[in-house]
Amino acid sequence: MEQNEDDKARGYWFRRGFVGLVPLWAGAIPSGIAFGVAARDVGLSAVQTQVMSLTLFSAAAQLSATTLWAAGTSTVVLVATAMALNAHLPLLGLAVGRSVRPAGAVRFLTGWLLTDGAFGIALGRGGQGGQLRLATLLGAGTSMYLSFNAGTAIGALVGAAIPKHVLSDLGIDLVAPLSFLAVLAPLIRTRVTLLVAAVAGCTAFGLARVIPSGLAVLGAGVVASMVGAWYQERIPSERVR
Amino acid sequence: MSMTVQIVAMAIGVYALRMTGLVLREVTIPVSLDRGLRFVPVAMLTALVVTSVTRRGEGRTEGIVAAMVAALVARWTGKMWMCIVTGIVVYGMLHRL
Repeated sequence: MEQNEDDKARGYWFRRGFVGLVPLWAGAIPSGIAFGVAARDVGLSAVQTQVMSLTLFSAAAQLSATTLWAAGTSTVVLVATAMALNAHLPLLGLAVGRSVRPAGAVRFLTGWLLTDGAFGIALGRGGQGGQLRLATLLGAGTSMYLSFNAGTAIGALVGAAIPKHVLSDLGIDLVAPLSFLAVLAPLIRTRVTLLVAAVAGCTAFGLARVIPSGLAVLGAGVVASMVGAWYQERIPSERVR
Repeated sequence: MSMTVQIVAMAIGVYALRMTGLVLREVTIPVSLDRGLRFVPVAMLTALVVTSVTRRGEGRTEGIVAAMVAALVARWTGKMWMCIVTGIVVYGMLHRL
């Protein structure tokens, strides 16, 4: 008798999610290392660095925090920037909630591990019909969590082993913006995204001359996003370059 | 405010975003807001790159040049580690001159 997919143990689907995300370790581990090194460079202790990856679990927010700390930024701006960089997460949560409906305590764990990568992998590894399974999502999420934190631990150790003047001579403070560039480059494919980037860059540059960097980033982010939304409304179809 | 407190504050903020979608039922989002939200990553990342690269003290010009070269590498290869390594290497070379 053929075993129905749904009968397979949750462990099977968890493992599918966990192993399915392994290709993404190629991004999670280096960005964890990049953060670990950048965090130490800015003055965080090894414990603080690791705790940040364990609790915040967002490479974008964590790396941007290191650049903002270097510029001296208020807590409000740090939190607002971290949230703005993750502003799409409620939408992701809604998509998950609709297909999976986690209940009770499991919801809090699902939320803790929620990332785009885990979602994408779990969707792809959900068996026939491409349905999202909670076990697969948790497996993928755990895989991402472990690899990112492992990378952080490595980076924190490496960052501590190298003297600070060597780190600044090497330009280690560039690691965070360089990682952002790597994420940014493939995102700019259409005229509207190019416009958004151009507006964001110019606005941020101009604002940073008169207000603190963190506020300049937020202001530029809001302005450029609004410009993008406005432009998108004027041209219904995006033309790919 | 100590950095540890700031870390916890950021973690709470982002966790709230993660839980929002999971606990809410059906929610309709205004189309304009949805459109705007989609551009936030590009806008924020660009703003962050520009401010952090141009606001450095020592080695500012070298940093900007290194970032530009790294951006090209990112575009061509699509690999984060190559972008970072290229940027650091180019900066190192320019800085030593």
